[in-house]
This record gives sequence, C-alpha cells and structure tokens, in this order.
Amino acid sequence: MATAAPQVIVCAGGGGVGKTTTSAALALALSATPGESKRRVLVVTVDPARRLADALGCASSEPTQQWVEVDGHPLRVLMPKPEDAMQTFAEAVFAGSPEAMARFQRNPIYASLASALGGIQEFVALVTIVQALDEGYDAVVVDTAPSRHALDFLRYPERLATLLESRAMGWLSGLAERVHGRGGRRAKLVDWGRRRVEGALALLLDPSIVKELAALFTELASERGRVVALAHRAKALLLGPSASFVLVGAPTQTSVADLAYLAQQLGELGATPKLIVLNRAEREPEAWLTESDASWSAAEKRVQRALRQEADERVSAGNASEAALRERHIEAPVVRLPEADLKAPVDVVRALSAALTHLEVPERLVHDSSPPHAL
Amino acid sequence: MVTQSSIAPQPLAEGVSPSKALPPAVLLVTGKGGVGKSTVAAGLAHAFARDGARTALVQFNHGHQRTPALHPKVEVVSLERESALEAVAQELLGSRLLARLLLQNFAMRRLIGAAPAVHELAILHAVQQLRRAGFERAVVDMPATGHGLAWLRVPAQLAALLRSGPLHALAERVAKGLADPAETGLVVVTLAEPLVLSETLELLAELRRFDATPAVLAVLNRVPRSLLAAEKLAEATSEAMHPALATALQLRRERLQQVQRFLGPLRDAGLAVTSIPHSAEALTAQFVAQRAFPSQEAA
Repeated sequence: MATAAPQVIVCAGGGGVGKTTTSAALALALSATPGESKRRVLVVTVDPARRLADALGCASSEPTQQWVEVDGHPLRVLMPKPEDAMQTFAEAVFAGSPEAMARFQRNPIYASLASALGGIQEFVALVTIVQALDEGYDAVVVDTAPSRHALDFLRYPERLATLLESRAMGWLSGLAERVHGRGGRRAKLVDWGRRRVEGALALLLDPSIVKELAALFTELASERGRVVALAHRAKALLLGPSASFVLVGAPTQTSVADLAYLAQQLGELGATPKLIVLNRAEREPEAWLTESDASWSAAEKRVQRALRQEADERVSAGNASEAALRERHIEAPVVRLPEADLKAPVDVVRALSAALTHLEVPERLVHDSSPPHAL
Repeated sequence: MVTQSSIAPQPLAEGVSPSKALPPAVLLVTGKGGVGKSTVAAGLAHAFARDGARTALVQFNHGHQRTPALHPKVEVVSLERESALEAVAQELLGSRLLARLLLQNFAMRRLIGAAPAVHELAILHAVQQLRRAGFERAVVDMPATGHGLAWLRVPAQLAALLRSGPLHALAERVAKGLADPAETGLVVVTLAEPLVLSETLELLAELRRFDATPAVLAVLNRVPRSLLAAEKLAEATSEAMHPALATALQLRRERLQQVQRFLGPLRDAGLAVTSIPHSAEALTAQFVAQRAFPSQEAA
C-alpha cells in the first residue's frame, strides 16, 4: 500500500505530437516493468478529446473510471467527462452540505457555466486525481491538453484559490445589492472607483444576472475552505518533489519551439523537465528498407523507396530537433521513439511501451527522483 | 489526370480562383493540433492577397510563432486577449476610463481570470471588426479542434446566459456573424491518419449539431509519399514480396480506403476539398498557396 506520495508524471507538449499515446505507453511500461512488487499505476487524461480511450482500447462512453488490462498488466484509467464537470465540481465543493449544493445547482447561471467555463474541466481533473490518490497508487501518469493549456492546468489551482481566498469573493457576493439595490448609499467617498465599476456592470448586465451571479459566489464563498484546501493539495502534487515532467514533441520546428516554450514556462513555475520524448524520430531506418531484391516489381520498389525516404526524413528531422534543443540550452535527456507503423492504436501503445522499457525510461523516472514525501 | 476519388494532391477547383471558390469574408482555420493549421492559414491568406484582396492573417497570442514571408497585401494581425477585452468594454461603456476601471478592478480581474469565456467573445468580436478596418478578407489561425470548437460556441452561450443588456446584444451579434454563411466559413485541416480523420469527422458532426459556423473547405494536408506510391500499386503483387513491405502496403491500402470514406461524403455534401503533398523541403505558405490554391491565371 502506498502511504507515501506516488510518483506523478505529467506529460505535456504541443498538439498532435502523440502525447496521449506516449502517456498510455509510459503508464503501460511503468506497470509492466518487472520489479520487487507490482506497481499500481493510474493514468488520467485532462485532454477533452478523450483519445486515451482509443489508445488503450477501452470504450470512451463507459464510466469515467475503469480498470483496463493490457497483456496482463492492469491499469487504472481516468477520463473525466466534460459534460459531468460541473456536477463533479459541485460535489467536491459542497461535500457534506447537500442543501447548499442544491441551491448552487438550482441557480440558473450554474447550467450555463457547465459548458462555458474552460477552467472547470481542468479543476475537475485535479479533483479526480486527488480523490483517486486516496486509493493508493505508486505512479500516476497525467496526459495534459495541448501546449498552453497544459500550463493552465498547472496554474488553475492557484487561480481558483486566489479568487476564493481573496476579499474579491466578498465584494462579488455583495454585488447585487450594491449594483441594483438600495444599499449603495452607505458607500464612502474612498469607494468612488468601486462604485464606478458597479455602475459600469449595471450598464452592461441584466439586473437578474448580477443577482444570480452574486448568489452563486455567496454559495462558493461559504465553502471556500474546502476548495482552497483541494487546490493547494493538487498544486503540491503537481509541482511538488514527487512530480516529474515529461515533455513530448515531434521532430518539427514548431514542436521544438513548443518544447522550448514549455520548458521555459515550467522553469517559471520552479520545475524542470526530466525527459524529452521525440515521437516519430527513430535514430536509424529499419534494416529491411535498405535491402533490395531483383525479383521485386518496379511498383514495389517505388513503395519501398517512398518508405525509405520517409524514414530518412524522420531520422534527419530528429537529429536536427535534438541539435536545436541543445542550442536552446534544454538539458533534459532526449528519448527518440520510432514511427510505429501499426494499425490498431493499442498495438502502437504496446510497441512504444516496449521501446520505452528497452530504453529504461520507467526506471529513470521512478528511481532517479528525490525521496517521496508524504502529502 | 487524377480521378475524383484519388487522394493525389489536387488544387481547390480547376480554373477557379480561391476568392471565387471561398466566398465568406472571414475564414476560420481549424483542425487537430499539429496538422499544419498555421501554414494552411498563411497559404490561404497569401492566395487571397495574390488575387488582389487586402487580407488579414489573424493569430492569437502566439508569442513564439514565426511569421513566414508573405504577399505584401497580407497583414499579420496579432490579437491579444487583454486588448480585445478592453476594446469591447470601451465600445459598450462609451468610455475608456470606465472600461479600464472595470477591467482593472481587483475582483473583476480575478473573476475574468477564472472564467475565460469573455476573452473568447472579445477576440471573435475583434475578428469581425476587421472589415471595418478596411480588410476585404480575414483568415484566422484558430486553436486546435477541441478548444476551437468551444470558442465558436461561446458567443451563443453567453448570449443565452446574459438574457439582456449591451453585453448580451454584442454576444448575439457575434454569434449571428459566426453562423452566417456569407460572413464566416470554417476551413478544416486534416491528415491521412486514422486518429486525425476520426477527430475531423467528430468536429464536422458537432458543427452541424450546434448550427455553428458552416464548413466550406477541407484540406488534406501532407499526404505521405508512400501513400501515393501505394495508391498506384495494383492489387496483384509478386509472391516474393518482403513480409515487412507486404505489411506496410496492407496498412497503407486500408488507410487509403479510410481517406476515401472520409472524403466521399464531404464531396457529396458540396464541401470543397483540396490535398497537399508532403514535402520536407517545402512546408511553406507559398508552397501551400501554389499547390492548393493556384490563381486562375496559373491554372
């Protein structure tokens, strides 16, 4: 049973670089690596696209949490559904106060917020991770949404906590009375600027909206302690000593620029990438691509030549990307994975998992870290 | 001459300039991450400019993005979240001072920080305002599919949420512009890869479901050489074929069928389709403009 904090591995990268596939492969490699005792591994996706289901061959319409077994290695898979985000959010915030939760959910703004707020999805993923950790895991792999959104995910706990902790909440929850009610008279002269702001809001918004907005924030403010504690716990988990960041990229200029940007942003959060995975960037073409046979037809040779050319391009693009990363002083070791020319997404995950194990990536991520800290 | 069902690289429509084939003034370019949205957007802007239109190539906050060399009639417009929001507040309140006071208020800043939907509305509004600034065309390099789609729904959602008032009216105006086929069209960029194709199909289905911006063009980008070679290889192949080649070929035939199944219904639905070959040395906007959107004279 894991009483210490589990190893948290956050995979981040630009769009379309195979981040979800790599996360799934990494989770499988962690689970499959032979060791003293079986590792309990959780893999969770924050990407609203839910490609993790495809990668691991499980149904995306199934419950948010499920066990998946790949080649006899069990994995716990978490895929928070965007449409359930507000419900999960409300349950986490109002745990133990069913009446407040009912009021919150009856608020007309609640329903609209459910689909309009991008950040809620991120927060809910965090809540789900924190809750799942109580079940005890040795390693957690987090598949983030592309690029900039990956960083939003890391910053969201802080932003939400700041919003709820601050006097801003009090101001917002008293807004309705001051904007459209008669309570405004009591305001002092020093409040001139704020009264102007309230006046501006009254110009922009329907009075009933301001009232509902204020009611919503009153409910949230009454539960701020729990939200703030959750947010801080999530932050400690993601940016604490037991977290490692794996940046995933493709061998293209855009992707290298994304990787450099992410490494710099991570630095500002006080973290450094532990590993960079370059997908579709083998170090050399497969042997059969260079063998030729006189009996082959011209058309077959053309296909082989095209495949060889594509492989050569991946090799040299990988070399160029590695050089570009070094030029930008990104020191993290680079792992290069081949193009997995396979049909089923699960087979691709299997192949990449085997490649990661062969390169001893699971060991590097789990043992090469600071000693685990209790939460 | 390639057949209609082939995936061989083909320009938009033979003998028709991109300006005629794609009438909406604002084109939003989207697709799954990494499919080459930015290059296609730049290529399209280049093609419109080459046909004589003053064109804005709109980018969002892409701090680290390099802008390629483009036709002089293309102007790269970078829209920042903060300034777009300030412009909206100023327009609605009629006062710059009041707009600043509102947006810099300690509580409003935190509220907006936790609820980013307002920024998306402001940016889409700014895009629609570009025509007032004298642009005949705007090509917008949108965020990737999941988030891009959420963006397109924000104005209608905010309009419904706010019920009345000036901000509601603005959200409704933006939503109306987005759904108007004469004003806005969506360009979907995709690749000949299973995951990307299935996500593109989901995007198109979602668009129909929400009555959002109509799609006008699908771009099959970076078609691999091996796929084109496999398309040319007849069914019958020699006995002595290397097993690895046989596997690679089989996979590519299946992929070809997948692409056909994807493109067929799009063409039937009247969507313009164009495909661009993969080429390591020519991933530039000019290459895209020349291969996918040739001018009438060139064709």
